[in-house]
Amino acid sequence: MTEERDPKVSKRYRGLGREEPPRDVDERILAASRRATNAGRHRWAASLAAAAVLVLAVGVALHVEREEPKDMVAKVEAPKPAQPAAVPPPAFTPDPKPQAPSREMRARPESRAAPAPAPAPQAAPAPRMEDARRERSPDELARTEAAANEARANSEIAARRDAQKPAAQAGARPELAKAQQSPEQWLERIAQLRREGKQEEADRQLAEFRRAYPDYRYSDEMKAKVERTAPVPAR
Amino acid sequence: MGEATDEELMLAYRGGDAAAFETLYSRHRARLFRFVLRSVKARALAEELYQETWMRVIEARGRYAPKARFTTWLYTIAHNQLVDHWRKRGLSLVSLEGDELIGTSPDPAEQAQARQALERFAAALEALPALQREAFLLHEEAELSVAEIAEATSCDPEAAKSRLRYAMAKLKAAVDD
Repeated sequence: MTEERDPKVSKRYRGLGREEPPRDVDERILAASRRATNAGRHRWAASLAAAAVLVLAVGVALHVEREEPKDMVAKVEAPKPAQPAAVPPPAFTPDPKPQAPSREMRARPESRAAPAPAPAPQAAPAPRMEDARRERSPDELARTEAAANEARANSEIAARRDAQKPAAQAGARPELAKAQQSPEQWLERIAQLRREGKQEEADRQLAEFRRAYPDYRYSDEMKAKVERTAPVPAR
Repeated sequence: MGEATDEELMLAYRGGDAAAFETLYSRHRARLFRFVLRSVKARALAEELYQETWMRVIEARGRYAPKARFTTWLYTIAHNQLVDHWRKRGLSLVSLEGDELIGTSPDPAEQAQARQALERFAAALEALPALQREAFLLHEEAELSVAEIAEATSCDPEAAKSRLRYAMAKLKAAVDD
C-alpha cells in the first residue's frame, strides 16, 4: 500500500546499508537446491525401476498360472498312457490326415478329453508336457516336478507379498500417513499430545510439522494449543 | 518472451529445474537477507535463519502452489522462522555500526551529521515493537502490500495496517528530528 510509504523514511532506511548474504551461505543453499532436484530424479528412477520389476513379476506370475492347468492335466493324464487303445473308435470319422493340434486346441482341456482316434496322430503333435513327461527318466521327472513346485511356490509368495505390501508400507513410513492427514488434523493431534502431557512428543511432532508446512498460517488459538509456551513478541 | 515470473520459476523448480531456483534465489537473496538481518540481533544468527528459510523453501517445493505471489509465500516462511526464534529467545534488532553507517558527503562535518541521522533512524527502528518492525520491513524491504503483510504474518489486514502505520509514524518522527 503506497499510501503508507514515505520517501524520506525510505531514503533513510536505504541509508542503513545494502547488506547481502555471504558467498558461502549462497553456495550452501544452491548446493542444497541442486541436491534436492537430483534426489527427486533418483527417486523417480527408483520408482520407474520398481514399477518395471512389478510388471515383470506380475507377467511371470500370470504366465506361471496359465501354465499350471496344463501341468495339472498332464498329471491326471500321465498315468493313462494305454487308455486310447482301450477306448472304442469314435462315432465320427476323423480327419485321416494327421495334424498337429492348434495352439487353441491344446489349451482347451476338453479337446484333450476326447479320445484320440488313432495312435499315429498322437505321435505327430509337437511335444506336449505330458508327452515329454512320458519320455523322461524318473530323475528328470522329479527335477521337472520340483521346478514346477518351486515356480508355484514363488508365485504364491509373490501374491502374498503383494497382498501384504500396503500394510507394510504404511508401517514403514509413518510420515506417509501424516502426509495423508490435513495440516489441521496433524495440529489437533499435537494439541491432544499437549493435553495428555506428552510434551516431548508434541515438541517433536511440532518441529516435524514446521518442516512439512513451513508456510502454514497459524491462528492465535491454534498457536496456543500446539506450542509449549507461546511468548509472542509485544506489539 | 518476457522473463519468467517468480511463480513460474518456482513451479519449474518444483518440476526439477535447478537453474530456475538459481534465478529465483538471485532475485530474492539480498532483500530477504536484509529483512532477516534487521529482524534479529546477531549477524551469525541472521545468516542461520536466512539459510534455514531457504532450506524450508527447498523442502516445501513439492507443496508449492501459486495461490499468492511467491514473495508472500517466501516471507511467510521467513516470518514463521522468526516467530520460532522469538518463541525461543525473544527479539532485538541487529545493531548497526561501523561501515554500515557511512555517509556520502566528502565534508567531515556533513558526514558526521549524516551518521548521526542514520544512527537515530537505526535506533528508532530498533526501538519499534517486533511486530511493527516486521510490518515495516516487509513493506519497505520486501515491498509487500498491507494485504500481503497480513497474509505473511497470519493477521487480519486491519492489524497489519495498524502495525505499519504506527511504525511509520515513529520512523517519520526520527527522520524529522
